[in-house]
Amino acid sequence: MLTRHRRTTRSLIAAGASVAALATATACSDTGASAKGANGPLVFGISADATQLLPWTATAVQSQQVLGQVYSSLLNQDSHLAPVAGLADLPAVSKDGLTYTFALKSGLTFTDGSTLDSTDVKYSIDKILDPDTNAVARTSLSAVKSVSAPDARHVVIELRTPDASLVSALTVVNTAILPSGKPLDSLKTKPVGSGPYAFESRTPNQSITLVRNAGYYRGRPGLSSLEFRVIQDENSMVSALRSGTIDMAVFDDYVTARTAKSADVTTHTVDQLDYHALQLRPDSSVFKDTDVRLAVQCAIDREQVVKTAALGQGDVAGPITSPAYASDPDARPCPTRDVNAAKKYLADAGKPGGFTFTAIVPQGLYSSAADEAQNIQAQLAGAGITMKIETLDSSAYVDRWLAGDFDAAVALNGAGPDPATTYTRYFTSDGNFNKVAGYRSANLDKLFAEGIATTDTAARKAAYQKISRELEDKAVWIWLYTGRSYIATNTRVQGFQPITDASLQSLWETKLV
Amino acid sequence: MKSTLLFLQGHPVTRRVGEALLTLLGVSVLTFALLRVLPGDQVTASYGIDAGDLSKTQLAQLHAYYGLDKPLAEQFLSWLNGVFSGNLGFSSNAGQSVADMTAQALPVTLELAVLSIVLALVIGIPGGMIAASRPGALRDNAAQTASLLVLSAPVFLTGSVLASVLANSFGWNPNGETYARLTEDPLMNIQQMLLPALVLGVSIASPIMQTTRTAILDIRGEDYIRTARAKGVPERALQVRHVLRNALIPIVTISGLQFGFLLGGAVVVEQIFSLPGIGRQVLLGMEQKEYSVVQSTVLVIAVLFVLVNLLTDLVYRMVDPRVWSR
Amino acid sequence: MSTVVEPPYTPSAPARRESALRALLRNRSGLIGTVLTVLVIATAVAGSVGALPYDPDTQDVAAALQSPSGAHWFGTDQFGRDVFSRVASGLGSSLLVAGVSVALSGSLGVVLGILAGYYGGLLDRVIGVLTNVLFAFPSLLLALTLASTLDRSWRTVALAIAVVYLPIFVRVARGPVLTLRSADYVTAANAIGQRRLATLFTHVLPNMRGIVLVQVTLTLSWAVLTEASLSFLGFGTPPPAASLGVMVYDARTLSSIAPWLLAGPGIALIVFVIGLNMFGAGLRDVVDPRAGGRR
Repeated sequence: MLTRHRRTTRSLIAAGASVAALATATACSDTGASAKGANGPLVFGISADATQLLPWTATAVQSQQVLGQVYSSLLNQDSHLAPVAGLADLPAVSKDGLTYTFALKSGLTFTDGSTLDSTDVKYSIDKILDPDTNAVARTSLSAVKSVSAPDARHVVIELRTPDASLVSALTVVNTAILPSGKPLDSLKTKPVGSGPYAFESRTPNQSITLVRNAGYYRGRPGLSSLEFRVIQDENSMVSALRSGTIDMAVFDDYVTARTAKSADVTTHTVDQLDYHALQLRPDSSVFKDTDVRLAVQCAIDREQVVKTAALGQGDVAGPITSPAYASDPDARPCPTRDVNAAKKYLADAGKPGGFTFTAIVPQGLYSSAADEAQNIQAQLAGAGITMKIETLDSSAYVDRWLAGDFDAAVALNGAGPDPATTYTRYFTSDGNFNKVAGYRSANLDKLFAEGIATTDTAARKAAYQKISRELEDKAVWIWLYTGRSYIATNTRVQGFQPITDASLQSLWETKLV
Repeated sequence: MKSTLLFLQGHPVTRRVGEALLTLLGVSVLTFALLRVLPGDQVTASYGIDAGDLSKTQLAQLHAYYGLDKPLAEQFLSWLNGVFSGNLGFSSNAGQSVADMTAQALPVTLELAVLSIVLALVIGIPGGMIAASRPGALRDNAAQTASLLVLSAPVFLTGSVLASVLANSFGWNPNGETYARLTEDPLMNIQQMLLPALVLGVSIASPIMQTTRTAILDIRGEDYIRTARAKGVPERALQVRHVLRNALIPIVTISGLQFGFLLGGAVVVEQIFSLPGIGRQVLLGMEQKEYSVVQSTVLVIAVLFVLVNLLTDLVYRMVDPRVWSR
Repeated sequence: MSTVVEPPYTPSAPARRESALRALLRNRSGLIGTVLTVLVIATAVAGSVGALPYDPDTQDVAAALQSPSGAHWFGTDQFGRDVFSRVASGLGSSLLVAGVSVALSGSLGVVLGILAGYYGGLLDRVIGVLTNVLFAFPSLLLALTLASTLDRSWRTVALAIAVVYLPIFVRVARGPVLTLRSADYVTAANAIGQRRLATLFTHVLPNMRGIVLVQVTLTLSWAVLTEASLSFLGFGTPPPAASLGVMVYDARTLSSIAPWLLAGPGIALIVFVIGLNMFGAGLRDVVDPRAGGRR
């Protein structure tokens, strides 16, 4: 997963439903249960329609959730998000790290009955690399020189330079394998994949229905059918869960998830990889001085941000959040708030009286942004730093952010299991988002190259720790915390494994009882 | 300019039609202009921050694909041209033509609007009559206070409170189910329409009640009513045949106006109750920056609004022929 | 949801000059409305001159999420800010936005309405079409688009609301002008050689003061609700400034653990709107006794 922008709906409804939530007695379920057969349909609530049905260009969470059930990728992830065998086994890598050979499982088919072989894999990767496809994974596969299919069951990928993050990039839905015989335009309205469930029908803005793919390569999927139902408002989603009209939903908000809980609804808490940060742009005139940035770093108590903006439901984090490579948040300058140190940095920067800057804050992208901004503003004021808040509509925010047209930005950025995929785009001097990050150094370029030059995990980890250290020692951005997701399920839902990042990879084994 | 506007001075009927067409053109231009001034376009709306990974060529190609590379005037004219030939545009997000989407969404909103207005009339007219039957008495004050409270409580509050209480405490949540069309599953459809129509109906009942009350009081003071009463016309017949009939003019006006507003103004209620109506279609189109969806749907709403106004006018003139002379 | 209430109009006899205020206070809804509105304005003024128990924007995390008490009448929010002080200053900003927007739409709308009604003809038709365009465009969507096109500030919100309510004032002003145009004293003024424009403003305008005032009060209450709706949609006054709409919006998710966050601003909002509505109803009775409390 490269980037995810969560499409939270700006709910019109606001107050009312929550007033009513106070009045909730016990939920008498199950208006919907009687109509349902033993193993389906399972109704999964999503807060926005999955409008992008082509996996290569799907960026919204909802589309990725749905398409993850319809399509398969070359590789899968285990419960710690590490790459494991998928349509193919883990590849054999040549000594020089430039040749990856994949062996496909036998008897693979698409849900329309056609066979899935090396032609389809080669076609898919070539298409993703073709600029005309506008695929979002093109950058993460940019080291690929060529793809060949020596026989029906083998695929060979040749790289220009070694890239250890390649296997991780092949696990996501953005690199799903599509049938080479189908025109892309037809797949935009009627997807055909090799996932556990086959696309059956879609009513725009209402629901998407999938049915069991009996020929799924990992075994017989647990449900006869799976329906994704669009319920825009979170409070209505809670009502639907409690009254049993939907069986499952994922929430990002702690209090909402708590409200959903009842005798019939259980919630599982999982960590997110996405990180909340105050992005400073060292390229801007305000933040070009490292001491100025360090002053901001020292003036912020991250625990307090978590406490006020996320009600304590989150973990203070450093740049790298992936469990295998995680940064140590205590290793940064001023791991706890130190106003005196902040004032000293300000004096060193020649600004003993403090300074003023403006931060752009998104509205409608994720719910905690305004709260984070307000708390940071109050904390910085304590060190004599004035932060002005410029609230922007989500598209205006994205426009300004992409153009690097800001001094500071309150942001929730997507992170994946492999730090290379997460940060190369920002902090290498030729990265697509380097203008957004506003910082580069020869040292970082060298370290990022080292990080993907070897597949040896220990060596990679050392490189990413050094990257992490430079980013925080120079206070390039102010990394704050990672939040949590809450997966709510009806007690009838059995066999679902809640794992980090609320991934739905075990949904195929899930049953209704 | 002046010569093109000449028809505005002609016969009342041509004049009304001309005004209506100009209004629709104005709405279209306004919608078009507002959409282009909004930050972002369909490319950034669908790619989000991943648009940053697209090269200049890719961006140009996507803009061409969505028809955003042409000059603004050309974009507007080609949309207008499409509208005249019955092509309202295509939504890549819904995978459907806007005409098809509207054909599905419009009946939902129309049904909701009709039900609401009927409910409002059923509550508002008797309420107004009761209030007017003894001005200043307890019943008048009670009715007035009730209508004032209803007017002051926003629909998004009453609507979602009602929905959550029923769902959470009684497990009755028809709006959590997939929307059922009236023609396919009338029983479920009525359940899903009940609460939203009630919420909207009650809120519109308030102005209808006020209008009824005022109109009745006005007419009761007129000479011809006194004459009729002096002639010994029975009270009940007097109330219905003379007073209510004449009071209908302002009631028709206010109902028409309210109905017109419901077509585009039911967005909030459609959102709370997950009804796939036309208001939500506009809102989603705006979120996804699908220009043709928003332009065409707003035009459809405006056409209906204008039609309802014309119709109201017609009824008005039928009840009171003097209006023609104005 | 906006409703256009066009109060029936009768030119009032210029002779009747009983103190309007006294008449208003003798009317029951007028009295209650006046009391509530004065109360709200007093609180808002207290907020803007700093006469509040706490600074509305100062955070005190140690005192976060406290339920209402003697120290914090409406409790505190997750930042430890005093909800009462924020409600008071939020009333102020709601009042400001509503006031500025109604002043804008009222003054421009009345002028356009008078011109349309007095001169008639092509000018009337053109203004009529422009009014219809704004009427036919779904109002909340219009406000939302305007608010997101421009800079994010309370001025933008006020401007957006002003545009939405402009056509109502045009219609309200145009009607009576049609009647007044042929009134004897206006014809007389024209006959003795007063210029038409002068006639408009010396004779026509003063005679419709009452009806416009009623419309202003009603529109104020709708403007307060519209501002709140815009805030729910995320287009209201930007943080950290308190606004009733934003406060209710923010309280929405937290209300199951801290109901006072919703109660304070929610009740203040409803009381504010009820006050304005009752004030308007009372005013209408005074200006046009036939419409309301006929005894």
